[in-house]
Amino acid sequence: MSDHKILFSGTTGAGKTTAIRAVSETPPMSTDVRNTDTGLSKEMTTVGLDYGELTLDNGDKLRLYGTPGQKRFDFMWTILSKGALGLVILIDNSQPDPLADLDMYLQGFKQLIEDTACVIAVGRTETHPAPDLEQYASDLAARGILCPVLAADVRDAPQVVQLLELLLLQLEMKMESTNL
Amino acid sequence: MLTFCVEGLQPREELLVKSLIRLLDHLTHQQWRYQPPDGKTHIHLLLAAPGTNDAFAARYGKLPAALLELGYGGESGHGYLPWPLRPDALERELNRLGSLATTQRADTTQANTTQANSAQLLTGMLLSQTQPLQTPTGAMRLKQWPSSHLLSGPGRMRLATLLTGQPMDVDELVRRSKLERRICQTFVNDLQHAGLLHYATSVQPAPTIGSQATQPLPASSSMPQEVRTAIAAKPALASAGLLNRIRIRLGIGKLRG
Repeated sequence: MSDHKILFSGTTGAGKTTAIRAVSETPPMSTDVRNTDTGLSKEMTTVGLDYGELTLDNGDKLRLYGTPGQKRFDFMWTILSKGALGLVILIDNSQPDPLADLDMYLQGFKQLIEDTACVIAVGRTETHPAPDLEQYASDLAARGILCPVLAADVRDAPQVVQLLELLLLQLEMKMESTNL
Repeated sequence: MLTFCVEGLQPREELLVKSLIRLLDHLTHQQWRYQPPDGKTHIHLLLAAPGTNDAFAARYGKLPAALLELGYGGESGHGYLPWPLRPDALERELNRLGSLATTQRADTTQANTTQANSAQLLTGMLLSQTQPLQTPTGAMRLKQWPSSHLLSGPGRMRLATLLTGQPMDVDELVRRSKLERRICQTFVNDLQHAGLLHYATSVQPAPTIGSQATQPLPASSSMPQEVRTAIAAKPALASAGLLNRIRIRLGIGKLRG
């Protein structure tokens, strides 16, 4: 039996814990503490990491890790990236500068994105439509990054599954092209 | 003001669709005007019976930039509406195709002001208002992730994701996506109209994702050793194994046989 992992990273409050809870077969283990950041309208926030898992039909485990969102924990991003299959970045569009947030995660996970696959999910677009997805796509293109970027409500499990489906599809393409 | 013409429709159908478009004039995002084709005047949209656009192209030497087929049977979808026509479905398609035409116009204006793009314009990679596109052929890849309005439709998100990898042609897209050819072709046409496709001869590997597409993975790669070993040994096993197991566990099944 082997272990595999997929990472969820992104803005604090974007829903990493929620996304993992939506698909994990076990209740996610979180290291949440009371939020003291007045810029966030949530009572608890994750300062360590979230963890959930899925058991595959051959007994292998797919481990889902949610990284802490804050930049000061970026040393954990490197540690968690090691051996990961891919990355889902969750961006909260209600934050003051979500494009800058995305930029930070693209930098922080640069190596993982280069080596594997990445999907970007933008939340709260219904209440905060700007920047729109076109701006995200243009921003990514300007950085030379081509990956799916879509609006998502991670409280809805099928939408989280869709994010993972696109991640797997990208990874499959990457694997095959590596073999050509 | 955008223009449309018709091909291969019965006189009664032609009359009906023209009347509907006039009636929808206050609802559609763009104004549409019927323009009889003469091979010279630019036309944005061809409304045609299925399979008749080739005859149109043969007669006038080119096709309008957008195609909406009107046929019998089947489901409404991007680029296709069944009779009897539903006004709301027609309105939706006119808005979508009108938006594409507008994007095309903006892209063309931008491209015309950029000398660096002149070579691409000459080879037909960017749209020209005066020279509508031919049906895309050959291996292609996305330049950038498409706008939301291009992704609303069955399977389009997956099709776009497939086009983020190695360049592939429509046949390959159909095979991998397991979607109908019509859906794949319409999506590719829409991407082409929006100027979002690179063709194999012009594809430059993206510096990040996909940058190592034709290179061996470095020893420091983040990809797990097991996957790397599987890739090195049998490519089919790598995708048919781990990734499909994850898909099955997530309830999305296998994408490839």
